[in-house]
Amino acid sequence: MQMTNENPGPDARVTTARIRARTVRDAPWICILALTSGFQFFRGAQADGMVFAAAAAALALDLTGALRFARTARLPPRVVAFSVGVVIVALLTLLPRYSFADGVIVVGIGLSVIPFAWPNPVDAPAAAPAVADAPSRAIRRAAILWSILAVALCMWELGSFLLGMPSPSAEYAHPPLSDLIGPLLDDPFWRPVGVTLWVLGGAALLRRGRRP
Amino acid sequence: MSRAITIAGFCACGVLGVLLLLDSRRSPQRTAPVDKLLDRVMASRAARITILMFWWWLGWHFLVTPLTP
Repeated sequence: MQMTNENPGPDARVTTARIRARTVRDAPWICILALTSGFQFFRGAQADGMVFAAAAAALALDLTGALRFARTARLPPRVVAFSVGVVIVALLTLLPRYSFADGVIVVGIGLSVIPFAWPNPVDAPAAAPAVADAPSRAIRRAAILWSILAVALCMWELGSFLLGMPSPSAEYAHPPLSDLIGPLLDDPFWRPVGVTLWVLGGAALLRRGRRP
Repeated sequence: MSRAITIAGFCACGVLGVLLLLDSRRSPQRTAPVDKLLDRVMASRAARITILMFWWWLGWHFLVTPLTP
């Protein structure tokens, strides 16, 4: 027993190394969700804050191995996904914006996405090396440039929000992105465009990360 | 003036994003295309859930929760 503690076997060392590597890899994403949750609470959007906090908590629990989900969920065939997408776009376009029905549909979409998004294809033995091997120079460059752009956009949005807080005239002078894009979606032309882009974006994102 | 600067900042981010997309299409050996990048990043569950969470929130934010006056 003592010897086992002092000289853990190769399996134990590999497991510990994998857990450590996963923690290092996942912690920034959990922090992003936690920070976003904090910001949502700060701006008074309690429901948004709770959703982001729940996602952060679920991922933190997953690090400990406390969460187990089926690993076999597969994306539906493209024709099925396309048909569902068309129905969703039609409903979200025709139903009144901010209606209860819109809320039910959007929440339903979020819940439906979880079984497809959660399973980890790269956990499969054949794909495991994809986690460990170093990214190419082109991938690193793209990751750095997109990260800089995303952080710049977030900082600009945060700055606009904070500068616009004191009064309606300050908010007019420093409009957050939501105030600029939101009113467009009341337009009968731009609303279906926006909804279609959102649905297509989700469908595209769901297919990413499945090819190691 | 402040409003124009604020809007210009958002537009600049959009333009830079488009330039980055075009650059990655023109020289994928130098800057990986966004689909390759997402395939790599979203192989991790935490990244996948986080990115999809932000996507979902856009729909929630713009379609379900009204803007405060």
